[in-house]
Amino acid sequence: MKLLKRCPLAVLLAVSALALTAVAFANRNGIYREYGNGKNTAPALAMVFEGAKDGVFPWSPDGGDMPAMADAAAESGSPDGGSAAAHPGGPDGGFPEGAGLMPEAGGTAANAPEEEAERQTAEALEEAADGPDGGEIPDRASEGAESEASGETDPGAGVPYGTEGTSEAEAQPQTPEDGDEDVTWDFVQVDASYLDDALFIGDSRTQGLFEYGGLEDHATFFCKTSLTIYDLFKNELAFIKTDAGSQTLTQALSERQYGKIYLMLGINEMGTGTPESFFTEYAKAVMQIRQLQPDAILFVQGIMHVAAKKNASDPIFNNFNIDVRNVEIQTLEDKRDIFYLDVNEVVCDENGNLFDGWSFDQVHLKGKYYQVWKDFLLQHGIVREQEGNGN
Amino acid sequence: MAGIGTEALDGFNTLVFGSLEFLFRYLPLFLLIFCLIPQKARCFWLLAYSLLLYWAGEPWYVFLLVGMAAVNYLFGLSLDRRKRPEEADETAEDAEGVRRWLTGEARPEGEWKELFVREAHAEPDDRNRRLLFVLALFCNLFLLSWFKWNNAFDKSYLLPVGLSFYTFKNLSYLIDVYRGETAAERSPVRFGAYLCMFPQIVSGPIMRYREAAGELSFERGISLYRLESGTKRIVAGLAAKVLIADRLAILWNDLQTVGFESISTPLAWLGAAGYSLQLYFDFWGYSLIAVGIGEIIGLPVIRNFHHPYASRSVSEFYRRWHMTLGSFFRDYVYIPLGGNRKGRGRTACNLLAVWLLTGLWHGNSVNFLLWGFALGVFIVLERLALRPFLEKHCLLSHLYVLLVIPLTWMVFAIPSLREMGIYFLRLFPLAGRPETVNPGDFLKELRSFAPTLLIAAVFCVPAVGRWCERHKNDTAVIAALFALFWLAVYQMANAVNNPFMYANF
Repeated sequence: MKLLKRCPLAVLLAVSALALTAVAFANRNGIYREYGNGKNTAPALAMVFEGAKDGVFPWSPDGGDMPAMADAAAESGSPDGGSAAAHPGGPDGGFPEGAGLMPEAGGTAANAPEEEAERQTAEALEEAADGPDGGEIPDRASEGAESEASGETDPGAGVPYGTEGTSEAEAQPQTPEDGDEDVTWDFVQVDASYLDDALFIGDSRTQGLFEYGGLEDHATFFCKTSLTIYDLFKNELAFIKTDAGSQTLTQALSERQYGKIYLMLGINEMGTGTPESFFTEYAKAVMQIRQLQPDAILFVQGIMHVAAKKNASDPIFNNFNIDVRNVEIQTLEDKRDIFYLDVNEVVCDENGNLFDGWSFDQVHLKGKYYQVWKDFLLQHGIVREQEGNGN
Repeated sequence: MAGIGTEALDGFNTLVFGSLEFLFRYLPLFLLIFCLIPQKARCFWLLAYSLLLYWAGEPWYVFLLVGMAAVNYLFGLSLDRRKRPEEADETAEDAEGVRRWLTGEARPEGEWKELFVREAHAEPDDRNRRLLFVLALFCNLFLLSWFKWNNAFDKSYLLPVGLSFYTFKNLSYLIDVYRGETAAERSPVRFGAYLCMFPQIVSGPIMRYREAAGELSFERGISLYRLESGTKRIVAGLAAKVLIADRLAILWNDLQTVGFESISTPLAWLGAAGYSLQLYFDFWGYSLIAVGIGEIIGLPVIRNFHHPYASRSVSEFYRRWHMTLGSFFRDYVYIPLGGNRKGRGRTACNLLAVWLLTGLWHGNSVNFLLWGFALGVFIVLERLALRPFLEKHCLLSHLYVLLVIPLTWMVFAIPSLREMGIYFLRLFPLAGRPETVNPGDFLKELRSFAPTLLIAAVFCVPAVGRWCERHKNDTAVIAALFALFWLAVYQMANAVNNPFMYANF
């Protein structure tokens, strides 16, 4: 007691630290089993705080509301598993140890049995096919993913930039139900008013385009830092701020129809799941957008690369892993309703890294370079009504 | 501070105060054993543990540290005039002469000549002693310069952790011993512990040997009062570092991410304010932790910061900011150069010289020289002209400091002169607003950082500090510190697993 009276803070801290350590140890195979693994050298009690961030407390029941680990979820091959995988890092872009696409991830992509990949995609597309235009998605070009995954890290060489590289299957989409023939469209130069009925959906990079691209008077932006494809349609994620309050994406897309929708997501997801689980979710999200916005032209944008230093040093967030996903995203293109855009064509050097000096944090463009992205988008407008543009 | 930033990082977090490993493993283990072992073994334990922690982070440079400790220990013994009391009288006159020269009391002109004449006529022993002194200074300064020089041209060439700080500890020790202001340390263990002690090795404070000499035997034993007081300091320092400085670091990071050419003028000013506070709370917090650990084991409590932002002149600011470095330059450079006793012109030159050296010590890129020079110019101006005005106008003098200091921090913060130019053009938009500026950026960042900036500003007010000091034993204050500690730990625990704390995509 004398000790407590003379040095209450020191005693309280020591006692509470010991108690928290005991709690962490007692539950290390229970509610905290997913925390503090891998290379994390932090003391055991850190698990209690990591858990608290995810809403896992010592009194939380074990099991049901545990955030699932990405690997386990991805292995299950279920689209829902992928969704759960977005939990561990929370909405702040954090990635738990071991949950990510680790160095061997490229191998994972390359070695994944083709049937399994196809099955996953088929599942996703089956679900998505309920919509009015659901059947339009061409077969996934799994051979593209395969060749990319086994290729070199040079994205310039590995990725068919631009539209020239589109496969025959993509150039000849299935005949749509509305009898629009097999018309495809090419990109044309447009001006900023083209984007007056456009909607941009994305993470902090799209947020940057909103803030520095000079499009705020034209387009609508639904973006949120660290937004992932897994979160996009989550009911509890009302990330769209309107005058009437916060809305989920489903609500917002149900309220107003847009002429064009630009989607760029995928960098935050790289530490979670596999390219397959990512693509499954991505395809689902695209189909969901198509259902809600059947007349909109949908531009799926390839994930923007990172700069050279990060590319060379980061086992997860590197351009090889980005390109593995981009190849998959590109397979969604039908050149009729869904178009693939890869801004890396204009923001990357010959090695596929963001131009030197264009990014401070190696991930985001500096403010003034968002103009380049905007100009790229304006060079790649699709005007479907235009006579003679159809092929 | 750059003194921290330019040096190698510690892979195992053994020397990173703001790491969970340090707080919950290395520090408690050290303190526990320190308390349990006999008093006579404590100094050895401090030395051994410090070297072990340093070794875990710097497996090779630990030999440099040990080597420098050994060399300076021997230099100290050789330079110690007190070791030969029978010769004390003979050398007293010389010592006084040297002291007068070193402290600037010698005649204004010809002191170099005087020294050399004395040198030429000195007894061999004294001459040897002086040569040895010069050699000792040279060794230390050469090593520091060599590493800094290499680092200047090749940033991958990392400086040994704490080199700037332990070199200055060595220099202060050697000069004090040479001047006869303190006796040389006879015990290699005590000297080693003084130089290498882990609470101070990374970023100071630059504790003088003569201030610590009496405590290095740890004869006072463990005191519950000091344990509690030191713990409070550690918690306050941790909160300042983790909850304020680390949070404000995100603001500065945001500005860099956007690129200075695309920030609005209000945001440029907000960035300057945020960076100024971030730097203060980071370094002040670090110093509080260092001093708190020292206090627990019985070392003297050293004040390194004293509400600098409440100053009314730049000179005063730097008497309150990183005080151990300021007093080092004052005692070992400025006063020996003649201080303010040799006329206004010479005073101005001395001040500029001191501030250029201060700039160089902080870092070896041009911006640090420019930073030091700019501060020197302001301090000279104050000394020569501004002082009466500042003393008379309370409000204006505060505004002057709050304007000038953040601007000089921007010079400190931005290594590239081109980028610095861009930043200043955003602060003072003489060239108009570039197209890519988002005018709404200020409000967006302000919404995110206003609470932290406000809290930081409040804790810059001396009255708030005095209130905390007065009420530090109140239950409410203890409860608040307890909560702040675990809040900081929460932040740290989640930052560990989130390498992108500063940049969510």
